[in-house]
Amino acid sequence: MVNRKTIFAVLLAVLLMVVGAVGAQDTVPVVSFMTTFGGSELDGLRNSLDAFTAETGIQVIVESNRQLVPILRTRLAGGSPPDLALIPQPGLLAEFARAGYLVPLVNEDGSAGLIDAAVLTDNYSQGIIDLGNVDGIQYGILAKANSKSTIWYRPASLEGIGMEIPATWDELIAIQQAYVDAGLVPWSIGGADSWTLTDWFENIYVRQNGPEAYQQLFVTHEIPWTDASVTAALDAFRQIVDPADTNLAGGVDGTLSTDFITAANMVFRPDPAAEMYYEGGFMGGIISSNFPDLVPVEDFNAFLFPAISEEHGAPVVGGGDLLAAFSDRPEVAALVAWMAGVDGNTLWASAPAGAVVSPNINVDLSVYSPIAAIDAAQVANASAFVFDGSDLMPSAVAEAFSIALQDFVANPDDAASIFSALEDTAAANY
Amino acid sequence: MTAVSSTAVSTTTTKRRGLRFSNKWFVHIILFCLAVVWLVPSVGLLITSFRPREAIATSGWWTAFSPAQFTTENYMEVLNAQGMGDSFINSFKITIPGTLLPIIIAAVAAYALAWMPIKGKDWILVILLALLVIPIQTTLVPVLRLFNQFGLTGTYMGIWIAHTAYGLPFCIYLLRNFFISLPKELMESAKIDGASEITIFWRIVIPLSVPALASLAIFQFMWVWNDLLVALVFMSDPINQPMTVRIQAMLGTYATEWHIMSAASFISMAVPLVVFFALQRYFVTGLTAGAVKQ
Repeated sequence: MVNRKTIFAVLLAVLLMVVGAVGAQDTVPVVSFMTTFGGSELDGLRNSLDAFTAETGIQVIVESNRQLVPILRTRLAGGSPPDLALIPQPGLLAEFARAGYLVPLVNEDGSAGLIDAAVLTDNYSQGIIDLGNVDGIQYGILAKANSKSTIWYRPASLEGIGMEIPATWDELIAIQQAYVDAGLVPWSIGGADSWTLTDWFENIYVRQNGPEAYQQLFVTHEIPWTDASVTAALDAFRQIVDPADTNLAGGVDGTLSTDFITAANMVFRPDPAAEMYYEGGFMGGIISSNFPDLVPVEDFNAFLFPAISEEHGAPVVGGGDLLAAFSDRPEVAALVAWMAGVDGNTLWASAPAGAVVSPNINVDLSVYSPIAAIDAAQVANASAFVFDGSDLMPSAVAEAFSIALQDFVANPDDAASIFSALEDTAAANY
Repeated sequence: MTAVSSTAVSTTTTKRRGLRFSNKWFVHIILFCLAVVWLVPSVGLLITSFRPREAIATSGWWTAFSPAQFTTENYMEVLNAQGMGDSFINSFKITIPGTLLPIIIAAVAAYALAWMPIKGKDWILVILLALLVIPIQTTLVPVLRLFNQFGLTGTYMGIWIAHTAYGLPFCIYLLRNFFISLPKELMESAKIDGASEITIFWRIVIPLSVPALASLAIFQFMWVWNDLLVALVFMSDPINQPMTVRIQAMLGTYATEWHIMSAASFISMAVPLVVFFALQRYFVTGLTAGAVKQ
């Protein structure tokens, strides 16, 4: 049986731990910073933050958290938010701003909030600044951008069928046909992660109808999901996904049960199952770390999702994280200024690992690695930059939208009924 | 029960005995199949954790043996990650008190509810059962506010209190049901000999309840050790964070680092496994503790 002395010893140890836990607090200025970045992404961010600490003596505590949105909501409601956060969705930034949680970066009258208005206007294009503007007040700034208009391919494979990088949708479809004729499977799509499908649709839609209609469909819901423009976009998407047996690796079942990473692996592994893969610029880093033997640009590369109409060209659909502040202490303001300025961004963009594409116009394109450069060039040269539409919708609609597209891939003939059901959900949620 | 079956066996024919023999094999084969089904994902994860990142991206774990390509690099990367050692210690700092405190408090409470003459103790038990069904998520915001008022957010004290409170209803319920199944005569004779409640609790109930206490310790240890949610909400400072939080911080936004995930899962599993095997001999007896009243 258990010795009573042992029990007493254990109890004593617990008591000592309780007493020991009441530790001393440090007095160095500290800023806490919450982000979804982890792993090498965190190393990249640290490259910039460590320089900030070295320069100012202000410590930065990074809370890396893969479930940022629910945890941040809980911490806000519970009254212990971090000082800063990188918020992945503009809709969420607006929600927090309207709830009064956020400290303005620049006030409504243009006077300095946490930072001077000039810090933003000197470093960012107006379109990027506007992403952080809620009801006329600047609450956030896009700290990191990603193109989601990149089609990844193997240059050797494209040369193998005697084709070149497509500039138009018709050329892309011609490449697809050439692959099918050659007995190869043109596409690999990770449809189990339904956001890959919504990204496809968003790129097609903005190319057919332009950024204004895009806003009206995804943000304001002035255009319904039963609109002719939606049907036209679905028709174009159908050219890719139907017939699935010849166009998609694994057919319908394979597509809908494959996650987005596996889908990319299927194109770039030594015995590829497909020839092209569409997803964001961030895939470059994933592909090169999964396949370190491949030389970027030479062995794998990306081209811009081609234009569909001459009028609208090829706007970049993108994603990114908005920097926002929950407290207004001077050390927090100092970090915001650093993160928005050119030095902080250049250090982040040129980190040896986990570099990001900075939307700051003063960051020199030459600092990027060959892979990030593909992404950065698309963001920098974009004729227009629209935010990922499914991140702008109410979350219930976004979910219904992504499921609707999975249904569409499985049953393209039922497009009309699937999207009128989506319209019912949307009507109830705007 | 035993007596009945032994008479039955003695009167059966050889044929019946043969049937029993094959029955036993049948059961074993089914059990074996179930065990395989349960183990396949873990084995897959284990094999994956020893494969190079490129191989994981190229093919499934079941192809790992032809040609055999294994590496311990994934484990090295996890173990050498900044702060991993500290977070390992932090996990113990959180888990040991987070296991012992609820069990100690629950044992005392369960004894009172089982054997002491308290008015309305059935109602107390009903309230405890009601607490069992409250999802932990609904309590996070109010508890966080409370902790802020007392300066407990981000402290070990705070997270111990949280884990203790979240664990207590189940611990009390399980122990109370076990204690009440102990023979009444023991308590009565102890009382006649002049033992106080504390003596009965300490000298009779606790030594008799080691199986129940041990299995409860396994449960509670695993819950607290594997907890991510409570730590994410209440332990904001990375310096104090446990291993679960540290591991998820090693994954990028898109969680593409499968080699890290698989290796880290096994490292984090190692401690609960050691605890389980150390206390395992109590586990089977303890699991059904209080399930039936003898």
